[in-house]
Amino acid sequence: MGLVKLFAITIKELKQLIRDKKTLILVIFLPLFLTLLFGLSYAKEPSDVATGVVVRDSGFAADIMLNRIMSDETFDVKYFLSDIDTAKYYVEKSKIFVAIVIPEGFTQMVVTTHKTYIIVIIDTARRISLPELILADIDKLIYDCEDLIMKELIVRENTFSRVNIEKIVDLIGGEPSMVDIVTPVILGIMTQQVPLTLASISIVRERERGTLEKLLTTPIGRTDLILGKLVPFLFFGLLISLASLFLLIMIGGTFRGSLIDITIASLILGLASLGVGLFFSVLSTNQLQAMQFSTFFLIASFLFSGFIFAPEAMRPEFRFIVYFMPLYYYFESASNIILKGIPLKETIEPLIMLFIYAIISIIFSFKFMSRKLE
Amino acid sequence: MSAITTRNLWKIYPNGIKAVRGINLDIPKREIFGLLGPNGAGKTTTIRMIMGLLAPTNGEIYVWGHNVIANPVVARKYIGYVPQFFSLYPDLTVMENMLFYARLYELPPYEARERIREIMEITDIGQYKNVLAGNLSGGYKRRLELAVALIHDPPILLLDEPTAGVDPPIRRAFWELFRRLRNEGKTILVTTHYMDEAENCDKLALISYGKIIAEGTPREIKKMTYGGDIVRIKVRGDIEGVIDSLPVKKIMDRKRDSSSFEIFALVNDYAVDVPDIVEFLNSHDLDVLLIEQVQVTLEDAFIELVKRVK
Repeated sequence: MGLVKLFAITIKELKQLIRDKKTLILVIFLPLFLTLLFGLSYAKEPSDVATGVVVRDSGFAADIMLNRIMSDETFDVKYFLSDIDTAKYYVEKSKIFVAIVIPEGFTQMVVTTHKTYIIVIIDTARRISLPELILADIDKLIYDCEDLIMKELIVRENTFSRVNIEKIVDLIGGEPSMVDIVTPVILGIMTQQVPLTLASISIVRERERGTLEKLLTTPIGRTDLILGKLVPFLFFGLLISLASLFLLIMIGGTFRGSLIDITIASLILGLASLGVGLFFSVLSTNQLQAMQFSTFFLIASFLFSGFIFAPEAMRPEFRFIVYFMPLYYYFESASNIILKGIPLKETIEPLIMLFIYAIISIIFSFKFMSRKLE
Repeated sequence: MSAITTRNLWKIYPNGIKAVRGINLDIPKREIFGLLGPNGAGKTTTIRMIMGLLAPTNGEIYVWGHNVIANPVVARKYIGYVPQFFSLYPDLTVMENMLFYARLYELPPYEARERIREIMEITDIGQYKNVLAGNLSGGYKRRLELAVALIHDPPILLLDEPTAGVDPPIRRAFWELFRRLRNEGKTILVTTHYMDEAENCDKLALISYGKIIAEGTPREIKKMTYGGDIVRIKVRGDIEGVIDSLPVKKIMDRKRDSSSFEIFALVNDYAVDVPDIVEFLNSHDLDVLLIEQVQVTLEDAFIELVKRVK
């Protein structure tokens, strides 16, 4: 290729890009915005992690430990539980993310041997990065408590000796394999992106091809037109979601739940994705813009839906972003269904929220789209 | 009742462009009515307003007696529409496209098949029924557009530049088809900027800068442009002295060469006035070399009318 020709094409592309203001904003503004948002959102330490505490000791060391847990921003103590089995049950059912057990004789062991332990029960099935961050925070908490207890011992017993608190970690969900980790992610992404992308290009595609005008001259109503387009996209999304699940199981992925439950969860995610996709279709004037919206939403979903980067690791003031991500609600339920085998009815709350999200987004987009078609 | 009526129709776009400025149309049933004008004259905007795809800034539109602005869905049932550009699905076959539109118009399956068979015969597209629409030639794509517009057997056809980009033989075939449809009872409103093919219309409205500048049959328009017929007279001899007495309405042009004199004159009616002219020339001993009617084309008329409006 000659330089002149290359130059001509480059100049033409640049001119076209610069003159298409909306695309230009999408190409430049959205990536920068996402980068900035991501940078600002993620804090150094997690906070507000749903926590349960079991206190089986009433001595001064247990009090110090409990006070330290209660004052730590990482832990949002939602439940005081009676015993270790209840704590495990709560973690298994995803009511809490972590349970800290202060065992019987905790203080006595400190006094007599200067050594004691706590038990940490942690969920490994829901948030990829969070267990590690929490365990690091618990190490810090232990270090502080060792210091505080040592000082208290000096006052009470007039003895100076280093205190050692061990943590015994119980991973609920074990140490998931990579396939286990990605199963809900792939399933969620497939279920979200297929209907979302198809819905986002659907109307602009008709407009670009020149087929929309002809359609609008027929007795077909706007509702018929939009719904007629969305139904096959939802069907495709579900089909691909189930096919992905089948493939993931074939290659050794964990699936402990019910197929009906995950289908219902995927259906609700698909509906919400259609709402978002239709909204992008309203915003776009051509297929390129619709595809860009769809791609950026995919990236935003990876960053902010909670599976790879936990919402608890976000600054509280930015945490609202996750509530705009349909995948967040899906992961909350689907991880429980897929990796823990929890029945749908026991993990229905996020899906109810997702269903409300779907209804609102569809009605909202529908109204805008109907107006745009006028 | 007219098939299509518009009253003081205006369209001013948000950027201030006045695309249509007070158009009044009364299109009788079973006629081919042409909207003739150059690109950007307001033809497509007018058609789209009649179709209910574009809201007029002012004015009224009635299709088959139904108010388009108040009830576009009802009005559209009476219209088959062929847009300016290909508007069907290139990845569906001819048959699939037709079936799709038949379903949108809720034709029962048997009736739809029967209607499609009929239309394929009319539009001569049956041989391509299993071909993807995107693979058809330009002419057959336009045929398919027309076929789909006919699917619900509407009494009115709105054809926006139906022959644009089509070869002359196919254009001729199209106009034969339009005439056939007109004879079968359809009312056809067709826009075109091809002045030659506009001669095929029963009636025409010449549109320029959003305004109708002339309306009537092609012959009426040509005649009204100059207010009569134009005659070319060629004589040998000196006519200069009597030229002002020539029994014509107006001398439009005169040319002289070494041996003859040529005059272009306007008369009321060529057939009526020519004998008087010949008699006048003979009585003045002028040798008549040629007298003929100058064939005014629609293009001539259009250019002349636009000049006057400007």
